[in-house]
Amino acid sequence: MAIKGKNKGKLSRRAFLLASGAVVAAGAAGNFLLSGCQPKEAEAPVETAPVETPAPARKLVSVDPEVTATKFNVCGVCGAACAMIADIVDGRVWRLRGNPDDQVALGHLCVKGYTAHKDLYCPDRLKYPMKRTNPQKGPGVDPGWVKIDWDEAFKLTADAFNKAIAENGPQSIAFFSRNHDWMDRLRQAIGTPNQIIHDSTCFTTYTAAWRGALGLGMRSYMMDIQNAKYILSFGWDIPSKAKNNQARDYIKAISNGAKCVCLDPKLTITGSLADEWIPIKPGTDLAFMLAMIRIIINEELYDKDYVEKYTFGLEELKAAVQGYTPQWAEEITEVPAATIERIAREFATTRPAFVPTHKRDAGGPNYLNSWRTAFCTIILNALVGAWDREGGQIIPRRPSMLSFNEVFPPPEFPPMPKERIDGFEKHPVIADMRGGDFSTITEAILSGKPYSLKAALINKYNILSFPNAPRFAEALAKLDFVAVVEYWPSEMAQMADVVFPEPHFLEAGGMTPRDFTAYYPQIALREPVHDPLYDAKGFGAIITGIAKAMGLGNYFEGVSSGELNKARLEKLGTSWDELKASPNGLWTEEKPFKGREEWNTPSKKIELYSTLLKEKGFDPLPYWQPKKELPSADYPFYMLINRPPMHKMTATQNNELRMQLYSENSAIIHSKTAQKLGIKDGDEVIVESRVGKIKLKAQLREGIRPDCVCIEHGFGHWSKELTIAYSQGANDGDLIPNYSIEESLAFKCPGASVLMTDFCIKVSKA
Amino acid sequence: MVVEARLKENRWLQGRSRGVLYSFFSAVFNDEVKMENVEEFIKEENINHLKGIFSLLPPEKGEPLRECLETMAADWQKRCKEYGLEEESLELRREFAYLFLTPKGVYPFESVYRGQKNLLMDKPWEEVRAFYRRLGLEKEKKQLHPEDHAAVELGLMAVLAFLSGGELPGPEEEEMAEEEGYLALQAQQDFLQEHLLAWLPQLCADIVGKTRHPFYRAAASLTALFLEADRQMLQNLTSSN
Amino acid sequence: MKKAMLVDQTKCIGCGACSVECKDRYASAYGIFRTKMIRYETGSYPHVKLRFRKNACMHCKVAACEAICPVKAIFRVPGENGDMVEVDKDTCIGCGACITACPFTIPQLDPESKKMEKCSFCAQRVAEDGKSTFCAEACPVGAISFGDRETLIAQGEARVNALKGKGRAKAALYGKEDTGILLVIDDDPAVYDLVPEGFTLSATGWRAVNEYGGLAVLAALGGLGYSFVRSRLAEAKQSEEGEQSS
Repeated sequence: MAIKGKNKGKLSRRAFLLASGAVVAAGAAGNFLLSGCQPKEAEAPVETAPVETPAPARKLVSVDPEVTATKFNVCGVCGAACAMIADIVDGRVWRLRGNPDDQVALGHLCVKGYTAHKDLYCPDRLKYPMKRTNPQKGPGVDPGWVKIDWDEAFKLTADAFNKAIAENGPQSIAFFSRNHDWMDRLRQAIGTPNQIIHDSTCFTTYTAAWRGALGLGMRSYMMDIQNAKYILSFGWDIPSKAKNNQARDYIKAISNGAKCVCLDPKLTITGSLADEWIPIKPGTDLAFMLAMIRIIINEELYDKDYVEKYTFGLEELKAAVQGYTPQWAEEITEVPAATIERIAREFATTRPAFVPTHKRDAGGPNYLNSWRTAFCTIILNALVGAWDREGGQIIPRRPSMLSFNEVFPPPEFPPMPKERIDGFEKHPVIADMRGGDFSTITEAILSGKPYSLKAALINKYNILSFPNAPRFAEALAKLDFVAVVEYWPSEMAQMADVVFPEPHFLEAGGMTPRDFTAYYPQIALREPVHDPLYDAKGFGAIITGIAKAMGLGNYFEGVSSGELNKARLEKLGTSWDELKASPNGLWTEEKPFKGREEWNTPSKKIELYSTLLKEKGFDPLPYWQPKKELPSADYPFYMLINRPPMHKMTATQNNELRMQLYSENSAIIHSKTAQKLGIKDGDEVIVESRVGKIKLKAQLREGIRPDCVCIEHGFGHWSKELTIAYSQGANDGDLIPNYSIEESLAFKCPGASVLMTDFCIKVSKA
Repeated sequence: MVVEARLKENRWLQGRSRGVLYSFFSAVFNDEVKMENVEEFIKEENINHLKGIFSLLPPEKGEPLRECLETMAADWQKRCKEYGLEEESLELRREFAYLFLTPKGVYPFESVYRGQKNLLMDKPWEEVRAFYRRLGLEKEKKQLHPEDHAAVELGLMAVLAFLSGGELPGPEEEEMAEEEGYLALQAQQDFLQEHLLAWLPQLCADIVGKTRHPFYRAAASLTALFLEADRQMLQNLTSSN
Repeated sequence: MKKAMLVDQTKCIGCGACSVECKDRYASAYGIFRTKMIRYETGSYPHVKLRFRKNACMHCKVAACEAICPVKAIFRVPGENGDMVEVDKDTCIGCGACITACPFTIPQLDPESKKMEKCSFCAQRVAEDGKSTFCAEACPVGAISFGDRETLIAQGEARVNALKGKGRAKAALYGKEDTGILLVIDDDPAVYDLVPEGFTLSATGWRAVNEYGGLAVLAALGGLGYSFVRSRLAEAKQSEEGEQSS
């Protein structure tokens, strides 16, 4: 500033105290809102302009600024929920780090976590509640947004819901959302059974098997893989997805000299780092496992103490697998019988041995037989004593948390119809998990059977994640009213009548118990790293607002996340103040690890013969069953789906930093196959299934079976409001067939598998 | 002495009118426009006053501003008559959301225009905030836009313009008040040069290219033209100092 | 103690955590990564491996870039950490000679600043603040270690022996003699686009030429590179003169 006098270069405080008001008065032309500038309450330190002395030549460049604050937060990108530390410089996140004392993060984050602040500062994010003014709905249609205030957004939603209830009954409303206490209370207060979750595209085959053999309601994602000596992966490939804790633990295991064998039709990072990669034929892992089980039992190579003490049904299992010789399995899997024998013996005798599993590996809801494959992973791990033992699958030691209903006992709920829109209640083994079915919902809405769905509230789900995504978009357009709670102006948001903006996780507060790695109970604190940018509200507050506007406010009296956290922490013998004051942002209860002695099955043992599956009308033992669809003249290739490390599903693409590393997916084809089809690396190709076709670039590889094509998930965004992700790559989901409720039930899968990759495709040059 | 007196008069006169214009621009970028405010702005009395100010400029700068202002007023009245206030109001709300709330429109942030691609709160945001701080200002909490939002930056210019025009009560001591007036003038010149002119003309051009509504086309054009003209106006005001 | 980095490519999952962390901290221009994992697929089906190499400045003891730089913009961190090769951005004219000279083709031209951009070994943090490098701090699987050079060499050799013990005959520690960055590799250096060890000889060759005058070096670059460098030099010279005269 050129003028420096008594005022010391600053405007007088008094002038600005009056500024906002005075402008209104002075504005001869009227009452314009002046964007607020106010004098600082406290005297700001006088900032002097940088002194411009020429830097001495050959100076090292410093990039570490002075960190003005650090805040604890918890990564919201994936379920591992790494505890993070945000280094803040002058009000802005400079750097995100892993919390070194958190057993999940161990001081690191993954590539997605390190780049999360770029999502926070992305100007594409939703900023205010908005309503649609264009009655037309569909991909590419401009919604004609108009900014509205929260009360209007709540009222529009409440009116639409109340109208649906009055005209078509409470079951005509559906909540598309992951489990969420507030949402679930509103759902019950309304009296609709319809909560639709992505689970059946993700892991319900495992849930069914875990329920059948272990009696555990939900499967765990915790593994002590770092201490395993023999790791046998059937498509398990967390290292390719760079999930912080499990990738780290896999690398620890191989660094410690563990032997790893990976069966997968495509060469993954897991397979490449393993000692052996076996490109097994897609959907035949079950045959390989059955042959292994036969050898291990017949040759009595199993952990005798463990099996005798903790398992049930060995004799029945032995009888059931006698037909599954290595030669039989060779025919099906295309893996030599000798290899199967060798691996069976190595696996059983190199302990701790372990079959790691997660979600969309061989036992995930990919194939018609996947639930049986999932069952076999449990059996194999039981035969080598890997259940809740060092070097095996662990049941996480979570802190025992009070439930939402215990803290806030609800008023009585109205009666609720049993029949769900997606038929999920017809899957007896997993009906009570409210799982919901992303596959059957589409035809149910379009056909109006079993009944009409009229309105929906959708939280953070993307259309691209649904099997046959374009068909699902058609179904959505048929609903009278759709409210979408989102951070991004996603494809789902484009279909909304009302959008509610949610804050970024870095703007949110709360706490998260450790789960994906929990050797002992531990809770991580989440502090907002700064004030919310723009007018967002958390999902709980949005639900409460809708409930009040619907006249259901009595279900939420006194309910707040602050009170919930307080009550939960007090039950654990600590307090919110204590957690907040904790120097590492964690509450920890160190306990020595002790392996589990009893399971929740009727026999209290791991049931190699599942009494539950038997009782519910399913095979109690794992028998061979082929996958549903095989290559044909029309569709000659198997379909595979994977995911790159820098992206998680469909929510991470609108990020400049991640996209500079990996900006579009491609069709990964074996070079010889491509040659036959006249396709060169980088050529555009059309990939077509019986329900859809997509166009993307070809990537030629050696590390994939010549009869397979692999597409990485998360791309093909068509919302023009995602300016970075828009039109990059293509969506694999457009190729996945969806099924009706009747078709789904005919698969006779206790895990309601939606068969994410049980179909074949053709490829041609575009 | 005569020069100084004229300068003071000019400063006062122009400060007031410039303040009105900047607060109008700020309001356009800040939120949906209020129909009654625009009505007020395009009243004949106000238009004539602004035209008077524009006439102080060299004709190649003043004429386009005058034309733009007149077109804006004429279009406004025509559309309101043709479509009715209610329909036109909804049309304007739709256009506001399209332009400023969805990425199909524009990103009205200096950070986005001058910083790394596609990012809020980048380096330019730091610079703008530092500028405010040097003046002893910071953003009100209830203001949701970050400091480098077009509405906030234009709002600063409005406050400073009113201040240098003596429209706002300053310090009681005359010497200090005088000095504050100059300070505000100098600050406007610096801010215009360092910040607004470095990105807002491009933003306005983007709006003109993207908008489907004549009001926003006119308002954006007017903003861009005025910023360019104001550079000269401020130069005249301060150089005679 | 002299500092170094050991990148164990047999532990790398190619996730890009190091790349984004480095890029964000140094605010590198769009598309520019000072460090990036390059993936190689080797062998033919079904005997295939994916290999990764941390594609970043190797900080050569005798550096071709340093030798060839016509304006001497490339310099060494003073003191014991003299392995660290730095670029003085104020001096750099963006001629690209270093890109041609580098045996690993590491340097990149920043499209915005038109200056050479490459890994600085976080020299300020390492040599003056006593901190680690950003990439080593970021790596979630422990594939990048930072520490005393001698300790890291011992660590790298132990890892190589363990790999050999598992039958991985081609496992080797790369860079012990030549570079500030040590790599544990699992295959022939050529598979990773690495020049054979002992490459410093060629770099010394560059230096010898350079001592006879910049033009000889430039001529060695051949047609396009030559004229490109020439014109940039001329530009630099002109602007220098311009500044002096004004």
